[in-house]
Amino acid sequence: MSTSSSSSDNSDAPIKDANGAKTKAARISRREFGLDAAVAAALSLSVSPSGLLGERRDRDTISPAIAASEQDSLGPKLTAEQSRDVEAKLANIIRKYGERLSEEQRKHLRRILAYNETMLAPIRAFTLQNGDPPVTVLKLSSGKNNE
Amino acid sequence: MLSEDILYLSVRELGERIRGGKLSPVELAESFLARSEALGPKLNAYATITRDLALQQARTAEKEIASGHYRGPLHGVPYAAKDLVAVQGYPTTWGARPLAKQSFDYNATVIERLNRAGAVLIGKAAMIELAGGLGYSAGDASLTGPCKNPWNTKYWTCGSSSGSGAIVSAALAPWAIGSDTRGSIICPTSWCGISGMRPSFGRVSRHGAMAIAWTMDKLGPMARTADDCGLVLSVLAGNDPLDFDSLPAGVSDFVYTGAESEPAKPLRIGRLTNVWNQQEAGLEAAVDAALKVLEKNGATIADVEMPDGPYEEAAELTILMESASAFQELIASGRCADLIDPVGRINGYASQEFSVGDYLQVQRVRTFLQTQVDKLFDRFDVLATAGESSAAAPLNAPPEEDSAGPIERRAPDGISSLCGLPAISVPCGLSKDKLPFGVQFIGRALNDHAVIAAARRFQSHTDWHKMRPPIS
Repeated sequence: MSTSSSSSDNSDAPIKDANGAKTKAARISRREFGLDAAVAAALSLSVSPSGLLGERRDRDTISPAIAASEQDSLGPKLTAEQSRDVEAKLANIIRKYGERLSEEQRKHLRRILAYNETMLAPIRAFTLQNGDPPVTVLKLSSGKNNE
Repeated sequence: MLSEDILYLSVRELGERIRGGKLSPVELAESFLARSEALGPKLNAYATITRDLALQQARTAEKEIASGHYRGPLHGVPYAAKDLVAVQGYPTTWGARPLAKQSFDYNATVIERLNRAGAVLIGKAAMIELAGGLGYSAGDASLTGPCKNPWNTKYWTCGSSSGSGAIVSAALAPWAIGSDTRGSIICPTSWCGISGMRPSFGRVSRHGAMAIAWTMDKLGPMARTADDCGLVLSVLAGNDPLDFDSLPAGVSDFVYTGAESEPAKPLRIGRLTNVWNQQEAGLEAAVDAALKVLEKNGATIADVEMPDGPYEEAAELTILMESASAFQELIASGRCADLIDPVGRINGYASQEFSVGDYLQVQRVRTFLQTQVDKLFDRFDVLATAGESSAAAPLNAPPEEDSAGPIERRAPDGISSLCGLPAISVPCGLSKDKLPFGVQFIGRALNDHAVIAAARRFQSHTDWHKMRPPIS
């Protein structure tokens, strides 16, 4: 693991975000993660749950269009639509918080947003019906909580 | 000062000696405090040592037990609590520089339960800042510096329950509270060579504990043995109206004495064959050897694959999305800039850009993923794999570039955390660098007994859990 100075802005640090335990050996390769997810999104506009759960994706089938997408060389490959989403989100962050962010941090944010897009792709591709509920549900309160 | 042999005893053994009048709670607390004060700073293991409280609780325990008022197996037994659990009268920093002076005027529910059980709080354990809730890229992302592994102080403990792992491993306390949103108990447990358990979601109240992701956060015990995890969990578990995700009374309770009879049917273990892309040399053999021990002692072992699906994406996105809300004040105020890790300083801004539609889509997909995983438990009581894909990583390793190779889509921490499944990791060997390997057992939701039973059976036939790190 890195022992880089805590005061430095190490924007090249690998993204190991938002979970308790990420380790060098166990870390998800988010570039590969993104690549795989982008392939999935490109190959299937509408994927049934059974199809998504049962089908293993072959990273060698990446399309030329994705491979040639205009991306930061350090970030994942994105579709044109994903790239537009990243730029729109980055613009919104800069609109709200731009005064706080260095150029390096803005570049780092672009990479994070790109990874987030690739993670969203297979989730958005998952076909759901109107009545399929989220795991978050309202817990009724009727005087005695949870009883 | 009690001997190291005493300080490395299990919670059960310490409790029995205390109950029998063979061990003084005050002397025990003083010994653990002295060891914590001597070795804790070398490991960056503690955020705060609660000396005054510990001695007051130990004296009370000693008097109560002497007068015949015995509260149970944790009475007079010391422990540490991860510094995201509120303890009245002491700082609760969440491991984060912007919150270094934070304190709460109440105790977390788990602390209240332990107070009622007569347990003795030695200190608040160091942790990764915000338990990694806004992201981090290295083990030094902590208010108290990088937590060092007692097996080799040039190596990391893993996170985010870093201090809890180091404290138990080095016998600074016999057990500690950890928290696990996605692997934060299992990984440091594995790397530190101890036994640690992530209970089923909702079994242990999180009231008074820092939230990262409400639908994934769990608290659980890190100890010396699987049996100790069961003992401690029986005290921590139970319904709490103050935690909206607390399981109902009767479901949340966890009755465990250690004297439960073995199930009549053989333990059915599914060996997961597709959950790690790559494992350190020797680890797979260590896990196989562990399973052979169980097979020789009545278990059935069969290979099984975790079903494919966007588990890792769903787990990662859920945490990113919910943590952006949990830490909204830090993000909006800009105080996240005071975090140590460069990822943590900016990641919240990106996470605020997720849409409500995407959040709900993730939570709806999650229902399908739960169903898929749950089906595996029609055939198996527990699933088994390595606790982590390697032994501990060095603290001074250079920042890792995203590596080539297939993704860890089915890494077991994301899958089982996403679905709220109980899991336990126990030591099962040593790497070529003499660092611990762990084997983990994952159970069906609410079947916490199964994972403890599997690990206990393994430990009843092996001595890996009796290994001690070379630190003194």
